[in-house]
Amino acid sequence: MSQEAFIDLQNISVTYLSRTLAPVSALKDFNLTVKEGEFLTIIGPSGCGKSTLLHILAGLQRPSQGEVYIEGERIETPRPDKVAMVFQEYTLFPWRTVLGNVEVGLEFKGISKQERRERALEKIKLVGLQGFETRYPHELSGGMKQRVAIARALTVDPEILLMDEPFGALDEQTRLVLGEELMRIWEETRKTIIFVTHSLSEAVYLSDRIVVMTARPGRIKEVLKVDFPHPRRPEIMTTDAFEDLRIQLLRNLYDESKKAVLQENKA
Amino acid sequence: MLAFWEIATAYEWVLPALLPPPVEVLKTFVGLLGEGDIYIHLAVTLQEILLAYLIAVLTGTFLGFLLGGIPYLGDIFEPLLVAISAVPIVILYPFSVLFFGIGSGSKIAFAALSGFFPVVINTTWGVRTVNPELIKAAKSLGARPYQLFFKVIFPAALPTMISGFRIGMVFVLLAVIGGEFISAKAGIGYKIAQASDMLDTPLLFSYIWMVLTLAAGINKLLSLVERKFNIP
Ligand SMILES: Nc1ncnc2c1ncn2[C@@H]1O[C@H](COP(=O)(O)OP(=O)(O)OP(=O)(O)O)[C@@H](O)[C@H]1O
Ligand SMILES: [Mg+2]
Repeated sequence: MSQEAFIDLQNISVTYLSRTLAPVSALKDFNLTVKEGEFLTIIGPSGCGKSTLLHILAGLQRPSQGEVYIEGERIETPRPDKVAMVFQEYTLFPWRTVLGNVEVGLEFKGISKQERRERALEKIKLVGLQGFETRYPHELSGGMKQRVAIARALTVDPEILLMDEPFGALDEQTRLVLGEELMRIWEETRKTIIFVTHSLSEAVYLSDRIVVMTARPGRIKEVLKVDFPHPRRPEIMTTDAFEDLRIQLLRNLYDESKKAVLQENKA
Repeated sequence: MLAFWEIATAYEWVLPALLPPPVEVLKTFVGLLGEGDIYIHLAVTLQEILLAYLIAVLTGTFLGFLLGGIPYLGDIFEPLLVAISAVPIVILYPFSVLFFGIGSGSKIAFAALSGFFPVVINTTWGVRTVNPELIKAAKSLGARPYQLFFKVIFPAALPTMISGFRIGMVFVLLAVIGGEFISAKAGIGYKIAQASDMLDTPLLFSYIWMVLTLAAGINKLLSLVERKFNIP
């Protein structure tokens, strides 16, 4: 390694063993480096190991083989100072209010109540949820829940934000709005973001770089660079350049998605 | 319903010896409250309920967390507990009297055992079914093991635990009154048995009212506690 990468995934392989079923090879020899401040999107067919990859980056899971380095440090356990995650499912704590959820990471860290509150309120404002601090998750819409989850992840002030299909359960319009907001947040904070989605336009709109994965076992099939200037607004979605990229992405993805569906039918 | 009861007895549709008119029950009831004796029995019963419940909740919760938290133990003991709890525990009451005597001890032991099962089963279940995604989320936000327990697993399991606590209270109440009824020297259940032996139905009904009031009061108290903890 001539120059140290910000995030370095080296030869990651993951095999899930089961007592009753055949072992599942989710990832195989996966290599990827990510630059600091980059917005990288991972797109790939269902079951190709995207969530697995993010769990490994979050230190929630160890790969069967290979290593993860962030700023040269090996990641083996959760490191909230470096990495925070927005999960594929709703994972807010239902017994905590919006504020309680957003400040929980600081609470784990033993930060004083006063400071916690201040920092949490700042992030609640960033995601546009002022006035909802005392609501409980079940009183919020799906879109609001994911905003809370984003605020919760940002409050621990990580260098890297992992987002696993954060808008997957939302309707198209809400998704568009939240995508635009995420773009604004990224332009403001310049955190490194690794984002997983199934939406082609979301990928093209948000990313600096898009990694297309193969069907299981997941490997890199193609890497696309996206050069639209910042600040990026959703209007670019109507340009020809945008559409060209989207179609290129679709072509790359189509065969793999077909394979994945066949795999599922066999299993 | 009270009106129907009054009419039914006034026209002697049923024998007054079997179903006394409510007015008479009320009179007996008020008379009873004037005597000092009843408070002693009430106190005995309440004390038995309280102690038995305390034992049931503490041991049940502790063991429930153990069985829920250690999958290996849970796999072995959870089905066993469920199976045992299906047996009518009243068959153990004679042993309780043999071991702990005819006084309060036997009621407390028997009622604690009765209340223990719903508490331990619900706690085990509640802990085992905590959404693993919540645990992952907490870990990724830096929760240490004790924080994971007190700030995630415990509150997540609490609603299921509380419903176990409520069922446990019903079982304890049943067991204490039942135990006193079968054999005792004091307590409301014991007074019910006496009244029933003497065929003094107004007195019998007065005691039954008392037990119903007691049960309703305890139930109200628990639902207040439940509301406080089950926020969403
Ligand atoms: N704990 C597990 N035990 C066994 N197999 C697992 C486990 N977790 C994931 N898998 C399998 O590994 C493969 C990759 O799973 P993963 O969740 O990483 O996929 P994904 O790309 O996130 O899929 P999706 O797009 O549907 O979210 C899948 O085939 C899945 O069934
Ligand atoms: Mg996934």
